[in-house]
Amino acid sequence: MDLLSNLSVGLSTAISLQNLGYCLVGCILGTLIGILPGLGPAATISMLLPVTFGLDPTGSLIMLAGIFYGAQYGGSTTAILINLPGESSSVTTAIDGHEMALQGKAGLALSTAALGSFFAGTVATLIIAAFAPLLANAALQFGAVEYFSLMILGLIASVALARGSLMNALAMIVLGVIIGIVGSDPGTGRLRLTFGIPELADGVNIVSVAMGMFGLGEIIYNLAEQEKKRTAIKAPFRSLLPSFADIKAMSPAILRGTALGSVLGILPGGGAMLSSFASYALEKKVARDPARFGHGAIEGVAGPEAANNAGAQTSFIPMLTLGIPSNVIMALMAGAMIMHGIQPGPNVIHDQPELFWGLIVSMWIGNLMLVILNLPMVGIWVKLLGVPYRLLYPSIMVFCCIGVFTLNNSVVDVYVMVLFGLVGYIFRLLGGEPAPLLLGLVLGPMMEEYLRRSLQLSRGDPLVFVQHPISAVLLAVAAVLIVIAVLPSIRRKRDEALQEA
Amino acid sequence: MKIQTSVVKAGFAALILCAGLSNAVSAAELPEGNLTAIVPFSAGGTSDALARLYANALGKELNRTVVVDNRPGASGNIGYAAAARAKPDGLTIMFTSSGIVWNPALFNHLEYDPLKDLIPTAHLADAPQVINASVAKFPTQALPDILKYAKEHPGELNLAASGVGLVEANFEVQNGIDVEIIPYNGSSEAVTAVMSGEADIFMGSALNIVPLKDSGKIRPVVVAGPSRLDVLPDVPTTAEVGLPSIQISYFFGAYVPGGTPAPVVEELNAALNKVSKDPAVIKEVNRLGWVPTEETVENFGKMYQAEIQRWKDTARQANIKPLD
Amino acid sequence: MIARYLGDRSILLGIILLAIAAAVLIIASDYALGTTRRMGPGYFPMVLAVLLAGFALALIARGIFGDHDPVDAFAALPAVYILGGAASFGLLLRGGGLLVAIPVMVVVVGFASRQLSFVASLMLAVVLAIGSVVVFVTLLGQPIPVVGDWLRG
Repeated sequence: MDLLSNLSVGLSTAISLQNLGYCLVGCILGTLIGILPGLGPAATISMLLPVTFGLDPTGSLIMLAGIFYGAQYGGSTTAILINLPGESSSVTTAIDGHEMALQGKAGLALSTAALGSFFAGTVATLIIAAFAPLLANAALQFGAVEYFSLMILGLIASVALARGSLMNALAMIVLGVIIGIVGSDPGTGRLRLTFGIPELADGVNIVSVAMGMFGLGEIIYNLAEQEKKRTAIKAPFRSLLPSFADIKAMSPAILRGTALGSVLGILPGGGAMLSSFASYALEKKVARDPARFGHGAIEGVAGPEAANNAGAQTSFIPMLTLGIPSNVIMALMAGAMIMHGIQPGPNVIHDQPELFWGLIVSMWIGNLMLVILNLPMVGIWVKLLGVPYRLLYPSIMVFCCIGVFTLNNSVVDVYVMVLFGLVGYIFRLLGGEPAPLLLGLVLGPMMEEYLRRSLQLSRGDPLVFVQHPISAVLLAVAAVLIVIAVLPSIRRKRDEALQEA
Repeated sequence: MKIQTSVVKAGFAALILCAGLSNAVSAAELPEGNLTAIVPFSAGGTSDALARLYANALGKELNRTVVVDNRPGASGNIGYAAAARAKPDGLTIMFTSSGIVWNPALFNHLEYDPLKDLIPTAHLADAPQVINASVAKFPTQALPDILKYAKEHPGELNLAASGVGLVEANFEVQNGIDVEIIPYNGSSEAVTAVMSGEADIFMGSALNIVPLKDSGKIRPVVVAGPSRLDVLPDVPTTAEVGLPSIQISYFFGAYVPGGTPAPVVEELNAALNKVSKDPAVIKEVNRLGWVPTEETVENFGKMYQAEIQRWKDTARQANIKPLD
Repeated sequence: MIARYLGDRSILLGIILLAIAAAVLIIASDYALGTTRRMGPGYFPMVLAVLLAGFALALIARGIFGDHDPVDAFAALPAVYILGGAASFGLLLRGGGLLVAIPVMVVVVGFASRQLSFVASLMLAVVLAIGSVVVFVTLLGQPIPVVGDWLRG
């Protein structure tokens, strides 16, 4: 079968000593940046792009790809151990993963994340190999109208994962979207809500916000509680390996997460973050006792981790097959290809089979390397966190501050981080969850663009969102989700009222 | 002792020849030091690739190290302003494409004076734009038919613009048609829109369409330039279909800060024009969808000023209001 | 009564969000609204501000008519030290460079923990400052000022 011959071409390319070396370097670097808060794959890849000019194209792509999905693994590690998601896609992992760590199951959480990611990575690699051209064409069915509805659905679905009330979460989403608006209006370029600060012209940096709300806010919270939960993180090495029961518990979640991530990753604007949020919401909905979520449910780690890795890898598809990058990182990869004289597009599969298939096979090899790197090395990470909190938190702050600064070489980003540290802490006290705000922040600007374009295409007719079939379905699902979320509380209030009568 | 005149003449000729040669190879006016190439885009795009190509070739020619400084953001204004602020000694050169003559029309307030703070130094390449159509909407029609359709159905067609749509607005006005110009973020998105049928027409460089021309979803209709492109041998020019007045081209050039001494500018111009003729460079430029060209400093300067005025006029005609 | 209301989480959150919504509404009204077919820069922000105000009012209503949900104490001191420390990093980075900004931040932030002695925080400050310079500037080549403008010649 074609697939097998393609994969063998890829295998022979990927296992050359040179390419294996590049893969390893990429994975190690990726894990490292994933762990360091503030320094993300986008920043690192841009920094290393010039360095890879000297390498051959296949090697440099393999290394850059390794950095990308390696960062997904590393981000989960800090999310679980310190509740500081290293990447935006690890935010959901932090929720239940950190709870598991606090219950002394850090090792289990980490291995769940690693195994889930590895499984998803393997499956995603096969999917890319088998269906790349078909899948890329399917994405063409999605226009501005469909994307807008998809994002509405994404936001509503994320509300289902809020620990607090529905209304709080919705308010946080809207607030997040408003903050996302800060900067240049994409349609006219007009500066909005920038208060005369030029550095805000390109928007509020999501990493600054995340670092502030999750990083600083968390540190303040911990110090206020005087470190009472810190000691539970010393997980003995034995507990790293999951028991048979654990594997049984995490498997369905991993399967669902992989499927969800693979699909969502292909869609432009989608990718790792949307996949992990959607997976968390899905797991919560299908779980037999959803109350476990937020308190260390293993599915809350397995699902999103599988989803974000699957999403990260399948986001390569539009770039590799159509030459159309679906997010910033893919755009950088495309740039790397152009640098090496390779035109990303449908021809790559035909003109450069060793590059295409070599890259795909090396993704699987990279996943294997990362599991090996992360599981045994987890002992090292865990020991790292045996360090007393009073020494740890200033170090974390140093990393955060420097990391945030290096994004744009701008101290304004540091001030934004401080502001959101305050905001994050205050909102946490008042019951406002940071996760929906962050999602609103990321999706907000895109939503406005799609909304604007949809209305321009329909020449001002708002009914266009229900006239397009895919969009109508997406909105209907969102409506159903809201009803499902509200229904139990209505019924409960009714019961309470009836009881008092 | 009398030296033979022929030997003296030969000697003189040799001297002059040497002087001429050394002028071309050594940068006598340029001060010592490394070159900095400012690129007002982020790394990885076509413009960045072109900039690095020329910058590195220039570095090799002048035997200097070249440091590429990407300064993306604010539609290029950040990079342009940075170049304007740089030391006018000839060691800092900015490489950029046509956007630089659009911004004076699009922004009320620029951090630099486009006429005084930047000196157009070398006109390096042109990219005649290719007009593409969605196969679903226009499976076989040539440009005249498409324009006819547009005139008969005002406001119906969707024209995908990779940026703010200034060039597209110009096209509208010049051809007397009324289409809906829809801005997208960059050419990839615009091309996808046409392929999915969301938009009907797109104008872009050859690089955007070459990998997709056989996809069955988008087709190049015409090249709005003086001659056919090597990479699209089957696509006619606007002249060939009877519309020679439609010429849409982007240009790529090098600029130095205002106040750079004229001899330095001339020297850089000569060096850049020289590297522009290197076959390896020409091959790369063509692959990226551009056509190398060259121009004197004076003519390029005139062209720059004329273009700035032209786009200001276009913006006014198309009712595009400049931003603050 | 007032104290009970002001100590309720939903009401406080609602008030803050309402204030933000009002501010956005006022600022956005300066931007061109445009039409539905061609949304101007002000369109979306106005819609969002109205939505946010709606939620804010609902939250306040819930706070008044629903169960009382008291706010936890605001830990002012740790907040001041942590945020102040990070802010001081931002303020000192350009002028003093990493070698000034990091130690100052670590010492300030150190006051937030009752278990960290001043001496320990000083030692930690030095270690982190040197370590960061080595990792970020020497190894990763980041263009961060090590010694700032004030200290240069």
